[in-house]
Amino acid sequence: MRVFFFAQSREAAGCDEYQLEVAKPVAQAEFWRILVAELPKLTSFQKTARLARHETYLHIDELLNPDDEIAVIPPVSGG
Amino acid sequence: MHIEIEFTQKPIARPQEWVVPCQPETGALVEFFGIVRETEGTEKIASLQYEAYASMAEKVMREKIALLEKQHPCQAIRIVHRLGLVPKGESAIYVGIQSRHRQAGFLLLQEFMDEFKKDVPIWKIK
Repeated sequence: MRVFFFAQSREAAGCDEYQLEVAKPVAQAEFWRILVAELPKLTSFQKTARLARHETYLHIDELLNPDDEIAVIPPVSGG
Repeated sequence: MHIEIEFTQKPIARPQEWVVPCQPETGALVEFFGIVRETEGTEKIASLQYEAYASMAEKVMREKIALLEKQHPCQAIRIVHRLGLVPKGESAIYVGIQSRHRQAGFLLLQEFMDEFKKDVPIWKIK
């Protein structure tokens, strides 16, 4: 799974994108557990960031698939 | 409804030039310029840095407009968001709406900006 970071989440992750190894579809809580274990500085984003796939926000109960491209969207502040 | 969306690194011009100018049946042009203030919270700043997930930002804006125009039919909307460094006193965003009557334009602008602030993936970084 490729994970893309923006704004403050990119600064915390230290990279634009990250390859996360998952073998099967995972719930979002499990996604965060795996991601934060590898990139601990993203811990605070678990509660504030939203996830998007194909440029669409995910509902909380949607699963993430191993071949997904997932964007981590910190709280927005444009305008 | 005609939609114009632009992201730019350059200053947002006042007044704005539309791709599609007002139509003979346009009765209102409602415009909003969002400007970078001198203070962010309690801190004095010289500028803000803006960043966007541009393709998703445009998609989300188009979805919002499609929903909102059912309640507030208008003729055209133009959105320009500046990215990169925006000095205080300069505009970060322009939203203009052409409509037959002013009420639909005012309401669409207000509700679009409320939705924009919630969901459009653009960030300011001090």
